[in-house]
Amino acid sequence: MMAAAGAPGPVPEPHLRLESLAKRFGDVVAVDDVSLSVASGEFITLLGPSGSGKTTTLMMIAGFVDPSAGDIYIDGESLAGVPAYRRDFGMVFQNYALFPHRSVAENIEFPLRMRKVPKARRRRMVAEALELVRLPDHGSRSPSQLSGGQQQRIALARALVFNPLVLLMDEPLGALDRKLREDMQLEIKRLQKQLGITTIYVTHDQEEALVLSDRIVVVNHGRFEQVADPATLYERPATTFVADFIGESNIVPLTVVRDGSDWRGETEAGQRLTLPADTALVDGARTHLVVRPEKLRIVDEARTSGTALHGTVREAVYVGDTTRYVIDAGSGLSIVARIQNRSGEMRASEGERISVGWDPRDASTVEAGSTRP
Amino acid sequence: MRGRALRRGPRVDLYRIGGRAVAGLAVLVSILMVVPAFFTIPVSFSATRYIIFPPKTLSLRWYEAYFTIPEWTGATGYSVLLATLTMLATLALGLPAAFGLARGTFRGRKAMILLFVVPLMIPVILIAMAEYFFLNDLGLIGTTTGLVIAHTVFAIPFVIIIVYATLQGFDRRYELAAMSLGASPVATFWHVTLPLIRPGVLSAALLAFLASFNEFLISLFVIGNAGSTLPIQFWKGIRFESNPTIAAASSLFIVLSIVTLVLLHVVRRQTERR
Amino acid sequence: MIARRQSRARTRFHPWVRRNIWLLLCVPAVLFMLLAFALPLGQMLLRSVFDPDPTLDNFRALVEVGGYGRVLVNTFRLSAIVTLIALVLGYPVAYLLAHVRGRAAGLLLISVVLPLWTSELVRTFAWMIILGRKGPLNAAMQSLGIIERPLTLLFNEPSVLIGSVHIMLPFMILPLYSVMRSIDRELVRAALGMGATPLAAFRHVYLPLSMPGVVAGCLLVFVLATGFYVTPAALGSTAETMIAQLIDTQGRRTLNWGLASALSVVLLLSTTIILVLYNRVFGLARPIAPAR
Repeated sequence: MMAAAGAPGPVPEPHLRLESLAKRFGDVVAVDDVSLSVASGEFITLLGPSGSGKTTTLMMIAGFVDPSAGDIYIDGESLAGVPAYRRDFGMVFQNYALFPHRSVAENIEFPLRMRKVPKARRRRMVAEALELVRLPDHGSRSPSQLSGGQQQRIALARALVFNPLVLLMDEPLGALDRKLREDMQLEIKRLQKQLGITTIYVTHDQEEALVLSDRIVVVNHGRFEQVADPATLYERPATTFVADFIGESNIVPLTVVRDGSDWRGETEAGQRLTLPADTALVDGARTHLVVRPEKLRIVDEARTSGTALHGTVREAVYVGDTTRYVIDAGSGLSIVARIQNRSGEMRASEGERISVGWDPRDASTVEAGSTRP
Repeated sequence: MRGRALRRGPRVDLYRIGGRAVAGLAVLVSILMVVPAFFTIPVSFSATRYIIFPPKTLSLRWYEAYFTIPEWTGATGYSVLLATLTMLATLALGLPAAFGLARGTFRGRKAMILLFVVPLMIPVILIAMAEYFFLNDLGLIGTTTGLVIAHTVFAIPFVIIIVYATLQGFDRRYELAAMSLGASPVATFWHVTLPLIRPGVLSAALLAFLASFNEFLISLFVIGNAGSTLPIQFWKGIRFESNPTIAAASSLFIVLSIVTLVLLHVVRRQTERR
Repeated sequence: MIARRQSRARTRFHPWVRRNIWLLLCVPAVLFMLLAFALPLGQMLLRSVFDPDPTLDNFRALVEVGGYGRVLVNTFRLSAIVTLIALVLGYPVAYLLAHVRGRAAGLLLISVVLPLWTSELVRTFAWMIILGRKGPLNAAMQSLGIIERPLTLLFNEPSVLIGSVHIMLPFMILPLYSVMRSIDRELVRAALGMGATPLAAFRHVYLPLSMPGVVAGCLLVFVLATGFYVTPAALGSTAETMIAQLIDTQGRRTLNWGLASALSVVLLLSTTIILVLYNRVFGLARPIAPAR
């Protein structure tokens, strides 16, 4: 499967490195042999559905869960057997985990007290941290007197005040409403850039991952499906799982067939399509063609040459800037097309037979995603 | 269309009256549960040597007797000592065990819980017999050590049950947060876990103290010929003396249970304020 | 803003210790309970059949000596009556406690818990005052002209029953309450909405749902009542003698520990049977938490 090797180049000496990390709980494999190199100051997001193993991976990095196999390195030094409290990693939890019996200032002061920082210096650092998250006057309050967003800022200040080597965040915005979540995303991005701190962020929200990350790790069934920057992930998904999980995709199962001197992909309904250049050409091989709905256009049936699918419009819904078509392409295959509502585009109505086509450069073929072993 | 007769209830709503009657019975029972003990208080202020209710003349002589007669003061002091030692012993044994049971997933966990809860659910006379045999073999009959061991068997369920329940409602992410911030397991327990479960621990300690302080039958079996606990002295009073000193002692027991209840309430309020 | 770095030392504990830490924390208490509780109970079993040679004389005595048999029968009969009365009186209190809100709920809870934490001796003594010849009950009846001379209300079966029920009520109410609290009263409203009379709704919906509490409360009260010592001794006559008193006289006073053990074994046996039943219905490990 895809692993750290998928992102060559920009990491001369990784700051944080996961090497063949695995975690089994009895017979259940939660994390299955994953590797990753993270550069200093990089913002990495572990993105995946619940139960995919992303949180377990984070917990192993934090030191709360012992790996069954593999190791974690910080600046080349192994962390095996180093307990969480000696790792100097800041962590932010979904429900903030602010100590209810301590004031806001005392919460932020806690990691400094644990490190025996002198009192006067502690006070100054707490003030700076409060300044950093723009809540300078809230030190004497109790956490329960703060709003959700404010609590999350304080949790962030507490995790950053001791200048950790790495910042770990476990679904930190999961409990906030949408508007607040968007504000906090910008706030987190600003802080991370300002401090240049290496960050590992866990979420199941793909939009959040796309906004925040330098690179995204798509996690599924305990494996890393793809590690890539947001644009690559969106434009060139490596597996059908990634294509489906990030945004909306049309995934067309194909069988590779020889067509005279040429290679073609045959749909289950028997249509023959042009294969993108990167397809592995083995006769009878199964593959998938991926095209995003917004890359499709309604085209003239006569003009197509292997870059269009034919079918009946089952649904045409006007959604303002675009119209969303669902097309029955036979053999149970549904194609979604989002067509811009502007003059010059062809339109169609429900029940009509049409063809939707794409530019060959906008399609790619991918392997099926990993399944549970 | 066929008409349909509505079933009407009787004019006088018998169900309503019945409901009221049942509620009235419940209130009456709950009053009858609390009130009897308080009959001892007026008797304790009686001036005569007989137990009469209501007393004809009032005095404080039975309180004076209680606080000056060596048998009573000695027994009271000894009971306080035993209860304190028992409380400390049950906490020392019960707190770690409650943690282990609440957090662990090892085999035999269920059986252990059973072992800790059962003393609360069997006739006390059986514990008394068991402790007699145990302490007799060790030559500890009549010793303070022996009494504390016997009382600890009896009081440990309270500590386990209460602390276990408290830990079940405890969000462990506070501990993870503390550790991620650099607190060692000991520092995490001291600065985060203990302050957050303090109400449960305090309640457990209070109840362990009171359970030991009130305990009678086990003490009777294992105390031998040595001294007296307050409940044993009280029993002797009921059986052989029957003068209002026992009433004065009763008032003390009642005050103690009320104080405990108030303290439990205060402790609980502290938690809820968060 | 730089704090001192933590030294990245490895953990001091052996991995085996770290994996089994929760089990290890239980070990002292478990050892204590095995040694000081379970083992002596077993010892008692042995004591009843070895004296010092294997013998069944102790158990034969229980059957053959008329007085002993009467005490055994009496104990279980009285315990059953106490259980029944406690159920009838406790059920409405538990119901009210489970479904009333606000101040009343608090007061009711106090009325259940306060007696629980007041010494059994004090409460028994209180009944000695109330039911005494010169007690308030006799005084009240005399002044109302119901009776002419004071009645002997003490040292008979009714006085033992009154005292016992009083002491056992909290143990009946708490398991009932714990079950009733989780009963959704919408179900009763639904039954009423479907045309059931209040009585029918209670009988067909609420009562069956509260049954686990009824069974648990009854079993618990019965078990604890069979071990009564203080109440029958102080409020009863020799006719109301119960097992615990006999164990005391045979063991502690007459030093006939073999017979005392045999009596205890009978009690232990009935207790075990009942607790097994209790476990089926309620789960022994479910904390009844009398303190809450």
